[in-house]
Amino acid sequence: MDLLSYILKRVLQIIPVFIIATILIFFLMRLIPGDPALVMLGEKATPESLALLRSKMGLDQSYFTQFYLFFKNLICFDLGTSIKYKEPVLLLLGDKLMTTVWLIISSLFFSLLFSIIPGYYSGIHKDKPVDYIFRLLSLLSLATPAFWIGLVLLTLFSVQVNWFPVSGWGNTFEEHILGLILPGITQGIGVAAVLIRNLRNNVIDVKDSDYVNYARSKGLSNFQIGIHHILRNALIPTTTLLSMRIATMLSGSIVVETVFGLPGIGALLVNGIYARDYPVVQGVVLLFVLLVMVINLATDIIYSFLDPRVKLS
Amino acid sequence: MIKLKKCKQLNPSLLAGLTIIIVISVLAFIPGAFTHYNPTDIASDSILKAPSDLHLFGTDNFGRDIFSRVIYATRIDVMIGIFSVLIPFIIGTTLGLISGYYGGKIDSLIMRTVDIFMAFPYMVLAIAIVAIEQAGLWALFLSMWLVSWKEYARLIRSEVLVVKNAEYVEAAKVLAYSDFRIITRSILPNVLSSAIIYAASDVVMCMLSGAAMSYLGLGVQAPTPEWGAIISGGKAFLSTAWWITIFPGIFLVVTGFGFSLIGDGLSDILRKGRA
Amino acid sequence: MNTAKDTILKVDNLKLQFSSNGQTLNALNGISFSIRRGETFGFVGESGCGKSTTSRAILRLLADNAKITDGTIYYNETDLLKLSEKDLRKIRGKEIGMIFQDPMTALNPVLTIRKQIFEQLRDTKLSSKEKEIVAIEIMNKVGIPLPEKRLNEYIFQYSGGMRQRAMIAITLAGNPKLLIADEPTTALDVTIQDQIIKLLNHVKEDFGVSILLITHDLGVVGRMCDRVAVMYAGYIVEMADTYTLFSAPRHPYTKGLMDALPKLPQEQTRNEEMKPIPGALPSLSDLPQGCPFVSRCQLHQTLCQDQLPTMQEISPGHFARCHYFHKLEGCTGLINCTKG
Repeated sequence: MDLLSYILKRVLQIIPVFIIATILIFFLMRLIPGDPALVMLGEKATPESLALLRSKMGLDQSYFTQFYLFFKNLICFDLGTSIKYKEPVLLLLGDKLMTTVWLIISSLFFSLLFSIIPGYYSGIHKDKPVDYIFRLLSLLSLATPAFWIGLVLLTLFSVQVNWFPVSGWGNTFEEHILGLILPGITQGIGVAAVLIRNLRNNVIDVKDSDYVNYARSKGLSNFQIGIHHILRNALIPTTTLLSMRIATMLSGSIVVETVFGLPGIGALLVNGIYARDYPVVQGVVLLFVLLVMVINLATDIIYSFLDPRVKLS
Repeated sequence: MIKLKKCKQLNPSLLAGLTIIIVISVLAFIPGAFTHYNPTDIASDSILKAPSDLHLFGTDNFGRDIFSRVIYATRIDVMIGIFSVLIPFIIGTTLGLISGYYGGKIDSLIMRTVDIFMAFPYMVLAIAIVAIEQAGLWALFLSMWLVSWKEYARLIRSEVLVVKNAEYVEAAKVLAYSDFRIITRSILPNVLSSAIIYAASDVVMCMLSGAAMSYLGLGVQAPTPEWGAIISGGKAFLSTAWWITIFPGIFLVVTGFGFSLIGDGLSDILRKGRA
Repeated sequence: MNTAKDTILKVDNLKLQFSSNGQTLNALNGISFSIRRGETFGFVGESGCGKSTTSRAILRLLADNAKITDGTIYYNETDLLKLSEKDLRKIRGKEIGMIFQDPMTALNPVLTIRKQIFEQLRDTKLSSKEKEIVAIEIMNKVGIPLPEKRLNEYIFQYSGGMRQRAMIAITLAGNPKLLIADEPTTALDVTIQDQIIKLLNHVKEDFGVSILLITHDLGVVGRMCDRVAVMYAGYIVEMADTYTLFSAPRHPYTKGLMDALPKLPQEQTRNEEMKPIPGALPSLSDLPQGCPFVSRCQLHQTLCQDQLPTMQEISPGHFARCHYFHKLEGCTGLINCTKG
């Protein structure tokens, strides 16, 4: 009940921001130079057919009317039709979204894989050689562009040895998994760098705390203390950071999907820009904004589950 | 006294970072001193040549010298990193100061605007801007500026809220100093450190984003040498001419690492100074 | 006098150093005492005197920069300092349990009380249902109402007094024979302090434990302890049964501590007022060659500067580390002896 009313409240807060974002996107799209009708019909179009299409698309109306139509369609989940693919944008988005979601799941998996053990040991052995090595590594991976890591991994593992596909993620489940490994690692490395630093600092804060000492006085083994008292508590802020990072990963997926030829919404956006496919660009940007808001809400809820002291309000 | 002590034990991260960045800056200022090839000269007789004494980093599919392109690109990439941060730093800091100091309606207005900008993922907004403008350096800068300012506004505002009620600010108010004087002399110096620490890592992020945009073909356009664009040009030759992709990437990593080290060192010093 | 059989803990000549920033701090300088079975032994002194360090040293719960340089700590027949970390773990919690000052920081904030009690029962062969019964029984014994419900709560959901009870319950769940209570009442309101003191006294009988109490509060010592040691700058300066110590302190520091207590007006018989001890603790990195209390002592003479006094048994079971303890003869502390 409590949770439900909280979610309701947050959703109500989100709505105005989403509407303003929508207005912003709408007018941004109208600022794009060039005539969408011309793009659709090509250079050889006759003035008559252009005028017909314009009026069909509502381009001859005032901005206000256009926005009204746009918004009315939006509420009915009608995002228009792609110029390039000649398909409803909503269907395109639904089609591609799952790829991006899987990419993000893969990235989350690898970022945790790469960060928990280094972050923990770095914190436990603060200012020892192992700490310096992990800190340098995390600084280094912060400075490494994802698209380049992606290309290097592709060269090494897809081109030199044929372990992974060079592009795309195939059609079967196995092919999907195989196709998601390198993109996940690519994205995971950058996120792991941030997580390692955060986890390290949290471990340092926790490891000398009273409750760890008390747990020690109870005769718990180092492993039990490490897992249940140090890592358990240190991971709370890190998990929050990670879920906030999902929004950043959405941005990252634009580049990673392009590098690995994954058919996700990020690649859809880039291709939409190349093709001046305004309805698609508009739709993807709206979807991104919506996703970010949902992720932020989910982050707060997850945090309240992880840390019982936090009350949702 | 305290400052002297700090200088004596110069932070190793800062020192290493500064060294890297100084070397990189030399490359950026006088690229011509290191190579006699013109970075945009096309040579049909030396296409896709592997690294050799003649072409240290090899050549691309137009026969252009990669070493020369990479060196000449230094200036533009470093510039993207620094200027993408400088302008938002100034704008964001100013807005954050106003928002935190005055509060009330102006504060809500600024913070709601921040909220809206926060809803756009970093690259998405940048890409949308680039779509409107003709893709190029200016569109890239414009998009970076629009995307980056909000973090500084938020950081500064939250710091101002803490400092605002400090005794020395109260004292300045009692002395009937102007708001401008209070903000610039009493508040600003005490709220800047976290924004500076953030800016150091932001330079890296902006440089990488700029390179990523160029890689996607939405930033700096060929034939202008830029690391991301060079890498992009090499992606079709991964199996035959790895050098086109690898070398500019290494330069990106090293430069980013240098700035990261500076940021790391700065945050150590500034945090200690606070404690 | 006390055979090994009725001694549960015997610490002998314990020395401990901290190293920090290249300096060596002599935190404990030859601590010797023993605790008898079933007794409450108190350690009293101002902060930084080494009383907490002593208690942590017993279970080797020390920071990385601490080093025990000398001494023995016998728990029954085992020297704890010779045990491996693994064997020591069998002592921690199950033989010797600890209670910390502030349950809000000492209990894990994100684990339920149930989990933290169950951790103590980890090596028993009880099923989780049986563990639940044990946990509820302990919660009942320490006076936490509605234990079935409260087991599932987190420490921040408990009120002040209940928090300390919860920590006592968790510690007791390990079924220790010796309880080390480090300032268990310091963070509490006076009324709740009273309840916890009563509870601890009751627990001692009920669970048959011995207690090592660390406190800076002489009032708590008086209400709980059978015997007491006064610590100063890493030394025990006086040790006696509580009545003797309170009625006839024989170290100027102990006397000073008692004089420093505020007194009710009707108690101020001989025009005495609250007298704080002048000066501060000497630096542990640079202890004087003689008596550590010399700079603050009103009785001091040249001998005190040159020579560290030894612990002398002035009457059976009453020890003091002072060259001139006889100067305090006839002096009364908090209790006015009828003998005068």
